Amino acid sequence: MPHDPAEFDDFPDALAADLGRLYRADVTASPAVDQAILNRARAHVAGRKRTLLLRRVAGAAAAVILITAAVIPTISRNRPPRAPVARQLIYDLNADGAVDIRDALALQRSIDAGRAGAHDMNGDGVVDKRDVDAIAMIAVRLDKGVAR
Amino acid sequence: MPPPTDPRSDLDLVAALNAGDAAAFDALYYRYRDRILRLAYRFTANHADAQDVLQETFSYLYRKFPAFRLTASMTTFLYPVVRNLSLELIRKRRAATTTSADLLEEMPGFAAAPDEAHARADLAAAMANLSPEHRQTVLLRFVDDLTMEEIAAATGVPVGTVKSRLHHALAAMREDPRVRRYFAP
Repeated sequence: MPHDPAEFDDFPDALAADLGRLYRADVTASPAVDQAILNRARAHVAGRKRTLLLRRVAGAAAAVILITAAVIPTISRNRPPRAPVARQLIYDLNADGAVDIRDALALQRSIDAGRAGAHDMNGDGVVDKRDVDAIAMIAVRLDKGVAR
Repeated sequence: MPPPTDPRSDLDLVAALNAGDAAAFDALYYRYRDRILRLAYRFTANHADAQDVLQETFSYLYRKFPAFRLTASMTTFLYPVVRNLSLELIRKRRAATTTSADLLEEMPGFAAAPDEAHARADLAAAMANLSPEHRQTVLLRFVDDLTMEEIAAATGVPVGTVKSRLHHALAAMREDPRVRRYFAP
């Protein structure tokens, strides 16, 4: 009678026991190995936690800046001209008192030359074309009537 | 020194780790350390290599965080990692044995009475006579106590294939004069 492949309850206990003795090796990790593995894991988890926190803070800051830049045109429409909002200066990379396409180009040139520095405009942890685009977007919004 | 046994499930420990609780990794480590080490030793037959594989396996695991999703049992998830790391190590060291004597030297518990040693050598040789897939399936089921579903998930084959491999492995062992005695009524 063919053996039913679905049932293996009749596997000999003695065979299972001997297989266990043969293959279930009595090996233990040294305390030094334990500690090395755990220390590296903790360092990794702590490092990722810090990075995540920094990204969240940067992201929140960028969001505040973008929202403020969008709201300023409404607020300032009925107010007398005033000095540029301090937050806009973050995007004023060439420090000419205005945020425009020239700032976006300045960042692009810096990236191309490998001198991107700390201009992570969108808070994603890297300085690349997306940060150039972020400045360009702000410049366009500011062009639509924000005080300079 | 291992901490007191953590009552949290693997899923809860994974969630805690994803949330940045580094201590949850300690619990996972001590929960699976010995099993991983034994499995690595089974592949590598070398204490130092097994400890290397242990370190690499847990390095692989903690690098998965903080976005890790455990969709199967931890054993099922880690088995292919241990296997692949072990095989990579073996390929580097070119360790291969096929004779009963060689197998006997590698097997734990070798230092036994002559009759017992002879019996173990026979069993080791009979196991070596199985294909790698059949041998692996037998060991996962009857030494590591994995269920059919866990074996299927760990080895990447359907449950039906696992059952078929077990069926053929046992049939081969029943016919092998070196271990036929286990199946005598």
